[in-house]
Amino acid sequence: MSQKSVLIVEDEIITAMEIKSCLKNFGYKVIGIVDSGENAIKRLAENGINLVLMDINLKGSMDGIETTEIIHSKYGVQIVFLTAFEEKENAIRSRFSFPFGFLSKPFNEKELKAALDKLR
Amino acid sequence: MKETTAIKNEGLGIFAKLMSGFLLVLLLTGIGDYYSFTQMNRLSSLTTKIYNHPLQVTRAVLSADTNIVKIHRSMKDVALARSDKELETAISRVNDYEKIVYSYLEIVRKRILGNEGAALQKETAQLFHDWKPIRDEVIALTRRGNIEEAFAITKGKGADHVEKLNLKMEELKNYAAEKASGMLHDSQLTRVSVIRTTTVFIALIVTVAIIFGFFFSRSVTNTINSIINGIQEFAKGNLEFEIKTESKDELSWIAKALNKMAFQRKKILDELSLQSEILKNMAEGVYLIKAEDGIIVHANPKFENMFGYNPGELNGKHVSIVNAPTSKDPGAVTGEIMKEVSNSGAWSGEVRNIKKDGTTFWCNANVSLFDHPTFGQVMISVHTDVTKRKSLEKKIKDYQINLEETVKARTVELEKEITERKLVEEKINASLKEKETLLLEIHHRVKNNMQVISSLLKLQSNSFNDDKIKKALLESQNRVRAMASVHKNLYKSNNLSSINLLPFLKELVESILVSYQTNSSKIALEFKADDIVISIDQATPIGLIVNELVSNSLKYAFPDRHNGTIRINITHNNGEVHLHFSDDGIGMPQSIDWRDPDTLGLQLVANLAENQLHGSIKMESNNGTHFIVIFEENPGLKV
Repeated sequence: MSQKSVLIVEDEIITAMEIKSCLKNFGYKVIGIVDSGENAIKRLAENGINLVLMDINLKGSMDGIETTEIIHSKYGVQIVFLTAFEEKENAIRSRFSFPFGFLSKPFNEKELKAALDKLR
Repeated sequence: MKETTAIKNEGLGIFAKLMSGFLLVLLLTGIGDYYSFTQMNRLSSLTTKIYNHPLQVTRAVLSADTNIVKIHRSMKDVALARSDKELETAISRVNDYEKIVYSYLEIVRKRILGNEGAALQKETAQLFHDWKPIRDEVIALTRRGNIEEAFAITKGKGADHVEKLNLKMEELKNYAAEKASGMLHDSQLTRVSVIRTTTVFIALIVTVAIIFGFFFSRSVTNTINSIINGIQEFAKGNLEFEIKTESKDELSWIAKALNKMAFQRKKILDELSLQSEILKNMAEGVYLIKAEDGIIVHANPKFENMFGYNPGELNGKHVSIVNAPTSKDPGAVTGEIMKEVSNSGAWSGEVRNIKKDGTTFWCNANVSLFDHPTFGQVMISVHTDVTKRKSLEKKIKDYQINLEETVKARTVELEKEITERKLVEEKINASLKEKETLLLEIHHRVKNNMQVISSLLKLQSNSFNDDKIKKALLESQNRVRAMASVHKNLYKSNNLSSINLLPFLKELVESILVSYQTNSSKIALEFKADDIVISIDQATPIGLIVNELVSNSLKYAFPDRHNGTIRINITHNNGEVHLHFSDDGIGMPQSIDWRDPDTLGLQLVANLAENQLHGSIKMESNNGTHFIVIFEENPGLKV
């Protein structure tokens, strides 16, 4: 299996660092960390991103849901949502019909692994 | 009059009584007459028989006898005949007489009654017949001229035979006479019997007629007397009198009808008297006027009193005398009311009246029209003095207006108050909402920061190769996550100050299991908890205790095994929470003082239970490890 390229969209940089560390351990290739929807769209224009770890609360004018709407239809990438707002899960599930992962903060390495495994 | 016609025809009526009496007399007379007729018939037939038989027979016997004598004499003439001519004449006479005798004997034969009579007739006829040869001998001797011998035979044998014949004839005659006498006697007896029987019958009929007539007339007379007596009583005015009759005929119906009539009349009189009493004692003034000219014909005492007139003083006056002049004159007012009553049959309304002394006052009047037997069409008017009521109505109206104004003013005040209150409420609600949002935001940030702390610990652990340090950092990470879980659950709860113990602990324990378990090990969780809502002050230490106990079990209880069970059972009773934690692992080694161990985990458990929850904790190592934590549920907080 070829190595998956991952973009982490997370405005809390320490959390992003932990995710990056975990993903590396799991064998993923982390392309980068961005803190806003706008930056995420820019980075996705670059080729080779398969998976996006998407926080809901972001810097900039767009949140994770709006960003997902744009990037999924355009690039068809896999999404794992990360949020401290658990109540948003229902809103996300009713919004998107494609398969996606969902992880509520705080999470641990095993939970992240389980969420990623589900998408394979 | 329906009641009168309702009297039923019961018993024997007069007509029926008379008819039955008449028919009885008629029947008796008929029987008597029939008897008389039959007996008379018998008498008549007896008389006819007497005439037809014994008397006829007697007459015929006598006639025959006479002719026999004549034959005997003519025979003498035969014997004494001097010439042939005389002889032939005599013979011819004998033959003629003989024919006559035979004819009479034939009459006797036909009319004679009884066998004895018939035998006598036969014997007589035979004797007469036997005489003929003797006579013929005489005639022959005479013809031969043997006169003496002929004479001797006539006088001898002939005379003897005639004598015999005469005797028989006499016998026959006596027999007929006897028969006639017997019949006469019989008819006399019959006559006497008829007379007697008829007399008895007549006497019986008369007796029956007298008895019937007596009882019938007595019954009728008694009833009529009772009725007359009753009518006299009624005429006197004694309407309670009741005519009593014993008979059940038409007269008794009349009596009953009269009783009924008297009763009805009494009822009507009672009613009239009651009505009159009512009219006299009514609280309202009432007067009657003739519809054609408006003249008062009657006014009750109340009316006279109300208007200040003496008893009877108003009678004959025109009704306009009681109406006060208003914008219209009293005559016009009266005219209008009377016109309305004539057209529609009734009028009611308020009129301004005037007393005899000139005082005016308001009355409520109800006027209606009806036909009076004496006065023709009359109007009856019922008057009530409404002066007091009018004044009271005015007072009520004034009070109502006043009340309405007060209510209106108060309503305005209240509306203002309500508006103000609504504004205050809205402000309070907005402020509460704001606080809630702020609180949510704080919990969210706390949670986020804890995630950051957890991430930092994780990142830190990555920089160490020592497993002991890595484990210590993982434990710390789990402790932070246990605390973050409280905020996560608070965020979900309704009131932001307490959480439901069951979902909180279950999620926490499952998360710890995930963080510790490797693929090869399988530790099962049996979790049972009552529905307990607990404050944030108790939730954090409970979360940490459970975190430490589960972590402790996962680290030490199952060293050689890849499976086992952790059981958590939480109950509450009488304000106390019992947390029973157990695993089926190897149990706590005797060498370890769990209250003062080298590891931080168990130190935290004992301290949190006793010093933060202010509860008790005990440990049992028996088929695994058991911890029992008991603490007061939400002290100082009534949830």
